This record gives sequence, C-alpha cells and structure tokens, in this order.
Amino acid sequence: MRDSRDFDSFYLGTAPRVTSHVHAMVGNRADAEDVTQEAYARAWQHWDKVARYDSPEAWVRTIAFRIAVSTWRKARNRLTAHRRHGVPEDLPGADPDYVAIVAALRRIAPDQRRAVVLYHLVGLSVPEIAAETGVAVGTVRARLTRGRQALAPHLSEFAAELTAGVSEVANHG
Amino acid sequence: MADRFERALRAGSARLAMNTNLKHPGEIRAGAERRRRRRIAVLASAVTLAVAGLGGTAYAAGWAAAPSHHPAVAPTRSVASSPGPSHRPSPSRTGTPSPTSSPSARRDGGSSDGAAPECDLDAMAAVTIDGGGAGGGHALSTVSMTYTGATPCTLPEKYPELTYRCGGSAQADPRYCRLPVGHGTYFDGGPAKVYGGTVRPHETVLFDVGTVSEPSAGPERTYPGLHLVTQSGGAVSIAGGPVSSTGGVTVGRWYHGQR
Repeated sequence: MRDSRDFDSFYLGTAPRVTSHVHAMVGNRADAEDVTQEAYARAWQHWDKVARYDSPEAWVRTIAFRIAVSTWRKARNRLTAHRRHGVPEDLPGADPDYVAIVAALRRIAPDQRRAVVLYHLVGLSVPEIAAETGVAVGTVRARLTRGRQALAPHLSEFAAELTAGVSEVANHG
Repeated sequence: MADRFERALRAGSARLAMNTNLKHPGEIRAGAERRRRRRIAVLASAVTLAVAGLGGTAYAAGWAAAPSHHPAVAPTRSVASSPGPSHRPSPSRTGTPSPTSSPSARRDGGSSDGAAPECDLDAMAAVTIDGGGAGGGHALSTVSMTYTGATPCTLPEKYPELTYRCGGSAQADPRYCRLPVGHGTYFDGGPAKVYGGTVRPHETVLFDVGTVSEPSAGPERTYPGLHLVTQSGGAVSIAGGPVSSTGGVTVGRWYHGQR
C-alpha cells in the first residue's frame, strides 16, 4: 500500500530543489516545472518501489533529466523559435550571472550539460555521477572537461575559472 | 573547490528553488492516478479491438476456407441437414425443386437446374456498391445491380470477379488489375439470402463484399475504379467505390433476394 503522506513529504522537501536542477538542464522555468512534476507523478505510480531506494530524489532527478532530454529533442521547432526571438525571460529578478550560465548550458551537449549540472550544482562526485548516469568514471570526467571547455567561450566572465577547473576535475573527480 | 562559476550557478539555482510554482502533492498524485486509469482503459480497448478483430477474421476465414461444408454456401441439398441460426431453411428449401417449378419456387430453392442459361453479366446495369454495416473490425458492403436481359437466367455458380484501377487515371489510359479476393458468406442479421437460382428480367441481383476495418490487421489498401468482370472478358463499372480494407477483400456468392 502506497503511503501518500510519505510521498507528500518527499515531494514537498525535494521538488523545489529538483526543479531548480532541471531548470539548469532545460533553461526554462515552466518546462522545468512540467518535467519535474511529470517525474514525481511517475514516482508516485511506482512509489512502493521508489520509496525503498537509497535516494528516491536521485531516481526522480534521473527521470526528470530523461524527460527533459526527450522534451528537448521533440521541441526543436520551439528552440528554433527561441533562437529567432530570444530566450523568454522566465526568471524575473534573477542574477544576470545565473541567467548567462543557464543560457550557456543550453548551448552545450545534453550529456555534458547533465554532467556539469550534477557535478557543480547537485554536488555529486564523479563516481556518483557515473553511477547515476550509467557510464564509466572516465566518461564522466571527459564530459565534465569538455563541458567546461564548451562553456568557456559563452561565458567570458568565467572563462578563466572554467578553463582552470578542467585540470582540477581531471585530477580530482 | 567551488569556484566563481559554481557559486553563481548554485546561488541562482537556489533562488529559483525558492520561487518555484509547483502543484500541491495531492494534485500530482491525482494526475498520476488519472493517467494510470486512462492507460488501463486504452489498453483494455486495444485488447478488446484485437480480440474482436481476430475473432472476426477467424469468423470470415472459417467460412471462406470451408465453403462446401457450410449450409449457406453449400449446395441446396445440404441446407436442411445443418441449419444455422441466421439462415434457417424454410420447408420449401428442404427438397430439390423439379425442373418444372415456377420461377418463384425455383427462386426459393435456389436451384439452377439448367432451365435457364447462366446470366450474362454484361446485361447487368446500375451496378452500385453500398456501404453496409461494420462490427468486430469488419465491414460489409453490398453490390447490387439490375438484370436487364429479356429472358430469365441462372445466377453463375462462380464467385464474382472484380478488377480495380491500378494505374493511369480514370480519364486517361486507366489500367486495371484483378482484385485479389477471398470467398466467404456473410450473415448480417437481415433476412436469409437466396443464393443462386433463377433471375427474372429487371430483378435485382446482389453479392456481398467484406472488408477489414481494424487498423491492427495491416496497412489500409484502397481499390478505386471497381469493375465486375463478365464472362466475355469485359467489365461493368461499379459505382459507389472505392473499397478500402486493412486485411484484404472477400466476396460472397451471388444472391438475388432475401427471405
């Protein structure tokens, strides 16, 4: 029997955080909220199982990222429109640096973006990212390195840190 | 190792997390339940359709495969031996009519004792296909026509042969191909059909055309420009087409009345 109170407290405690992580992936708040809620709806459908996982939040985040990538692929036309008319301002009062970072993240490959978000935003270690994304540790390091390199040209203000951080990621992970 | 990039990313994300506009958890759960129920309903519908389609296909294929054993397609003599619910024979069908039977008696008996020559299909006019009923993934249409010959004739024992336009245009250089058909007998719940027998001038003659309407049966094929092939090798145009089916076309035997 699924415990709705258990699910509700899980949702209320983690959904805002997961939404913000997904936002860094998709770059649009409305899309991030939709994707996150969809992921939690799936979590509820499988709550008996998901509740027993070590980290239900990681499961939801993984599902949300998958949906985001899928949505991303399906929405090529919409992205074309965004490029033509500019990304909609979806976060009034947001830090300009953050807006620039999210815009830059949208310009790199989804796998690299996911690695960067998990590492720098969620705070997972390289082995944890490898476990969550189902790839080898070396692949995660490569994605992080290439992701930061790819971000650097779009974030001139952080270019120095991004380039310097490449070696740190490669060495520490 | 949090550098300026990472700090900016985390700060912005944290600010966004405080301003998310998320649904109440109860709404999330309710939405998930609604979707689960919808999925179950869709799945159940698909299963029902598949079972009905398979059942219908087997139903049609069963009769098409063994026409000589089925009372409605078998020769008249066998009608009395194994009546079915939708084609119960009247007493007049139990015997073989004599060659001197009146036209109506012959019609009842469906006999073609050679009293009249086989109907010349070139003498069929106003040939029209009408959409009939649909059910179980199958659709039944009826081709009707008027016999315009001057003397009575006997309906052919063969199943009707059809062609369709498979190339060119209707106006310029149309090309016709033989329509691949199966043979079957259909029970549409209406009066019992009288197969074979003698047809009088200006009488209506019919045959059934079965098609499959279940999408899972296969890709839909459309056959435009239907024609009825005559004994002389000619063809009489059938108005009212085209015919479409996802599982081939089946035709029934000629009949010329219902009772």
